[in-house]
Amino acid sequence: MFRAITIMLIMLVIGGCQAVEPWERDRLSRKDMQLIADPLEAQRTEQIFFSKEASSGGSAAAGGGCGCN
Amino acid sequence: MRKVDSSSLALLSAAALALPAFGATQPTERTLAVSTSVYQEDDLERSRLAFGDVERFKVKTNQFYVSAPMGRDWSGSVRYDNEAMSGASPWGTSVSADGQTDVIMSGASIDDSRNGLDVSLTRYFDQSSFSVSLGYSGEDDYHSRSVGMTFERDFFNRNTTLALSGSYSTDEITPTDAALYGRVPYKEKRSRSFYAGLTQLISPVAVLNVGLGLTSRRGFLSDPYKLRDVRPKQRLEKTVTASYRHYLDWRQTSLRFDYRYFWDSFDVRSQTLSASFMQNPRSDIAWGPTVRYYAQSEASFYRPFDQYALPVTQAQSSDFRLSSYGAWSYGIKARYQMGAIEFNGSLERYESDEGLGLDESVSAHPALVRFNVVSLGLEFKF
Amino acid sequence: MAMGSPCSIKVPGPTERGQLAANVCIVEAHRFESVYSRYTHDSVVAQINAAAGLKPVRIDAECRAIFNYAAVCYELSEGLFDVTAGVLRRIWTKTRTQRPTEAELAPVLGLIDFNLIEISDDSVFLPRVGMEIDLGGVVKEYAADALAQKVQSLGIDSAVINLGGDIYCVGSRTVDEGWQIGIVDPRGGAPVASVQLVNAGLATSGGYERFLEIDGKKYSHILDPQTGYPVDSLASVSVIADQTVVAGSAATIALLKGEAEGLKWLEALGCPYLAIGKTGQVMKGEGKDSEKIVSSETSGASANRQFKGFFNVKANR
Repeated sequence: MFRAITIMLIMLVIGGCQAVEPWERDRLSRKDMQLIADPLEAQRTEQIFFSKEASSGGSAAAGGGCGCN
Repeated sequence: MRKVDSSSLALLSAAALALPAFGATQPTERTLAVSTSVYQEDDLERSRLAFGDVERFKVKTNQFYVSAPMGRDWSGSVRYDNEAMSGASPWGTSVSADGQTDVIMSGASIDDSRNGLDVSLTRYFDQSSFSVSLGYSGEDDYHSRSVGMTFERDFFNRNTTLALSGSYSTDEITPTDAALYGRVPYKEKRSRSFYAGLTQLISPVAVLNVGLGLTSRRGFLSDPYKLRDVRPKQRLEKTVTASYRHYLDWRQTSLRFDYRYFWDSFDVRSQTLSASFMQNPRSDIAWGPTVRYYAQSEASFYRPFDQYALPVTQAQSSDFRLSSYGAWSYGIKARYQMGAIEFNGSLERYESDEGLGLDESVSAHPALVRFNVVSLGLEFKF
Repeated sequence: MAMGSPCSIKVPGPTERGQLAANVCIVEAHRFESVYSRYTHDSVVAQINAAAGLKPVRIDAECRAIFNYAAVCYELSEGLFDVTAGVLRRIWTKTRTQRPTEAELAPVLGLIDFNLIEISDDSVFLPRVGMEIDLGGVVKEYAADALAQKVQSLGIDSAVINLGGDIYCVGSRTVDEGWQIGIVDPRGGAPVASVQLVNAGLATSGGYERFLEIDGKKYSHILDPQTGYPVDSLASVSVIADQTVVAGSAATIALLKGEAEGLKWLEALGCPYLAIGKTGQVMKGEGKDSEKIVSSETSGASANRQFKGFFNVKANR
């Protein structure tokens, strides 16, 4: 896995992404540009889909379970 | 000529906060958020009911969240949620006269509540952060305790961020009325989970995140309430995820895309794609539609209806969640900012259908859910 | 004395902890001075300047972040806030008897351009021989913030850090009174205004504390990097912001823009400010975020950050 991460890292960097300078990050710092814009909404929807679908995970490590599944 | 407005101040402040005295990406404000929501499943089709109640699950959820910087290097957050569940849920399936699956539902007797608590503490360093979290979730018949750790490291002047996290949880299952209904009295399961993710700034208006996840669950993975539900004692789940955020100057719009490919040792594969389109027609208003597509294949031991003739040791489940199906959901989200307080609300409609599944020609599962979620909340920064 | 100006830290009560905090501040202020001063020959700034046109110099994460901050200021001010402008001091010396000519300035102006600096993750290179940087305009204000953070990390919740007029107020003086800070008139010593601050930074930029006198005419030490001449602008600008470093660069950019443009900049930025014009007239703005300003009657115990008795201009100047 670490190898895969290293390869991805190198690919992304060599892939020619221009460096985004700190003073260009005002739009990236907006709420809706975050990976998780609203922690409560994220938890709520994860809980629902975890209890109604066979798949789960994918956003950081899974926490504890519940009796809903 | 560059337009000067309060966003210039935001830029200066953001650059100032990137100075090391202010810690890594440490939050500078305290946040308090509360939210209440109602989840309501559509009634089951009466003609497909073999037994029980057509009125399905309803969950009322209250959530509470607070996070705050603590000193110059630390921050902490606490999340509490409470759910009140009511309605009926599927107990099993039987085969109807015309060879279709009928559902056996519980009576509308379920009346349970769940309380969840998560506490996390983060220490910020120059270019990295480390956080530890403890979680608890408790119901009458289910208790879960978890511990997790996350390490984040910035590279290339914060153009790239690597996140590594791991968690461990142990769950105790103590079904209600176990003696009365012949259910297992006590079972355990343990989960270990790992995640590695990389976030890369692509341009001043685009950011990409990719991640790999691995979860291993061992122990009692069956549903103790279903009449015949026997699942393997181990499950290994893998995910590959990608998230992309793109900003458009038009109405200050953020386009959000999230994709996940999931596969596991039950032979379930799934694809999830969600997108939303949050726009700000005014600086204090944000709203936008959301859409989500989900499709999965069936588990290797899925049976359209319970087969009591099979030995109890052989894996089988007629749980609709292990069948081949797919779902669309649509929704709308809105926020209104009034000073330091933000009001938010959302509506979502979810409809699943076996025709959208990743496997072909499967019989319809009448228990597939359709539901609505309505939520209202507010967030206060101080 | 550090940073070439009088500095102080004020902690209420004669506690050991307060003394410890003061000692820590002195050490930390001297560290900033020794690392970023252009006067001490072994500072990183002196090394970068000495290596101009020769080789890149290694920098640490803090220095890199300071360069990043300077870059934001450069961008926002459209080149007016330029840390390479210090070379102009070679022309504007104290012993000077005549106003410099454009021909005299031209070669020096060729050494001024922030965009010429080659900044990588861990090094800085000034490509032209004779180029020079001066981070004083960022570091002194940043040091006030950094010291304030240090003081807070020692468990002090009430203090004033004053590094030669760049001030950060930690907490409040008493439960319902902020720290009273006076603002001086550029032409005389008496304060012209006062403001009460709680968890906020205040920085003042002006041509009055240090100036040159050539042929009997006073010249401000604020020099326009594009023309090479001192800016004929506001006499002084004080700005309040969440961070002293932000207040400082906002004030400096306002001075560099000249009087009319400078006032426009301050209004657009939305920070509370007080500006003193060439003839001594006082102009002030409350800032957009008026929630931050409470009237002097309101008790401040509940608000985290506030500017009390907003710039009470003294009547009998």
